[in-house]
Amino acid sequence: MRNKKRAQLKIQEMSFMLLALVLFFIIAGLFYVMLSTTNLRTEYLRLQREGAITLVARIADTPELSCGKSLCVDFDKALVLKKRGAYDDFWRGVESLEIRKIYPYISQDIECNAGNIDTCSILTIKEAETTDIIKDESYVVLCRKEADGDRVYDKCEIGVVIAGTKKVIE
Amino acid sequence: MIRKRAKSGFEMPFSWVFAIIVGSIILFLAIYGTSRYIGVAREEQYTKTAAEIRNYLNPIVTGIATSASPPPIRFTQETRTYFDCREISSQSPIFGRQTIAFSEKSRIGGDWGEPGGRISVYNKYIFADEVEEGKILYFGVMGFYMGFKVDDLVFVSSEDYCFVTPPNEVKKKVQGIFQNVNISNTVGDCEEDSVKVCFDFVDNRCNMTVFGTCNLEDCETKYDTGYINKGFDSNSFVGNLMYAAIFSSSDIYECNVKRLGMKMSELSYLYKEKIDLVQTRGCMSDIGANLDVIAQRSSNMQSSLDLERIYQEVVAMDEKNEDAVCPIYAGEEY
Repeated sequence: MRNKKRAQLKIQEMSFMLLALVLFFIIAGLFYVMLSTTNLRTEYLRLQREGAITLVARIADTPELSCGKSLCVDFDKALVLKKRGAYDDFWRGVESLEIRKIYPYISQDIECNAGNIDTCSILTIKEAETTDIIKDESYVVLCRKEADGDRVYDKCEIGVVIAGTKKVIE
Repeated sequence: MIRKRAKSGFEMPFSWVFAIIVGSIILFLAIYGTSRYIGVAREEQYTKTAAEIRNYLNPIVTGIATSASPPPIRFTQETRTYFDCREISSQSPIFGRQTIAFSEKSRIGGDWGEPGGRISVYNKYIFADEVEEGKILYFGVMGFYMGFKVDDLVFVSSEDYCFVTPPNEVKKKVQGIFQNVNISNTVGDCEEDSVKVCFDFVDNRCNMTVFGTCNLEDCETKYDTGYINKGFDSNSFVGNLMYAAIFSSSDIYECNVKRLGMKMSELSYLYKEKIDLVQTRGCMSDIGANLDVIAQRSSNMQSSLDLERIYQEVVAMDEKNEDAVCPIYAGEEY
């Protein structure tokens, strides 16, 4: 009778031990999955950002903005592009896109349109929908067509293309 | 004296039976969990590799140059890179999209792993076969111009090619860009396992044949327009799309040609609006009507066969733009 009771106690001990072991594995597994998911999200955002940076580096040379020379933006095309919504999905990863004139310097932020091209300072092609973005810049030449009597020439200024990409949250 | 054998036979304590059953369940769960984890980790790695390939392609642009030759990617083992193309996607209804996926041959057993997640590319025109298999991925980039620059054509290939009797212009272009292309005077001189591309002659050893059809006065070469026969498929081309048709499957080529058509159409509208804008400053252009025709034709393309009709309009527009006091776009520089 005594032996039987001891055996039962042993079985109970063992089953509790095994139960604890299974629970331990489950908790450890969950912890690991949680860690690796966090890592995966960071990795995903890192790759997204890396993709956006490499895209920003070449955005001035895309046919939609380029004036035909390297790192030269056709400001007339950029003005038109602002009105065309078709490109919203095309530059995926770029959350915001603006062009800022830096020479000649204009101290106020004046949004450019067809009427104030000489006196404006900033052209927003794509507005950011979130504040969680990092902005990268690329210096460019901004050229537009001007006419002086019969003579048509390219008037060029110095500017910067600023593109925003989603921030990586560690 | 006869010894009585126990009726119960082999007796195992209950604790043993319990330990064996629960132990095997734990072991099974552990093995199952590990194998599942390895599968997930492998899929994650493949997806990351596909995203890295996409990012590698991003800065590859020709800019003002007409072509570029990025270095190939070398893998340590056999890999498969999967490409596909959709003319319309819910995420990008106008410009369509392409996807890249990746997998590699297992070191144990040598079987191919399931491809990882598909990475979407919206702003690239990648010309390749549906599956590129090998240890090296070669790349090449060329600008695609229809008067103005439409975009860059990205060629991806894992195979070796042999161009048989190409014209001098093709020879020059190819040698500067593609590391996996050899030039040969006869089909017999080509490497056995290379893809044989024959120019203007038919031979049953050729994998494909390129025919040039351009006979307009303004043609730079006979191969400004033409078509390529690949077995039962035939793809028409203009300009650098000839290389696109050579390096890609027929389906990916036709899909990307339609995507490029949509891009061409959007750019035509962009230039049309630019004309309206610059004429307020005294800069006049008469290519508006041509742009309308190009925009309309390119957005309604049914197949690559429609390219030549668009090209005729482009030639007329290009002439006007080059002679204009106020050129609206910068054309291709040779």
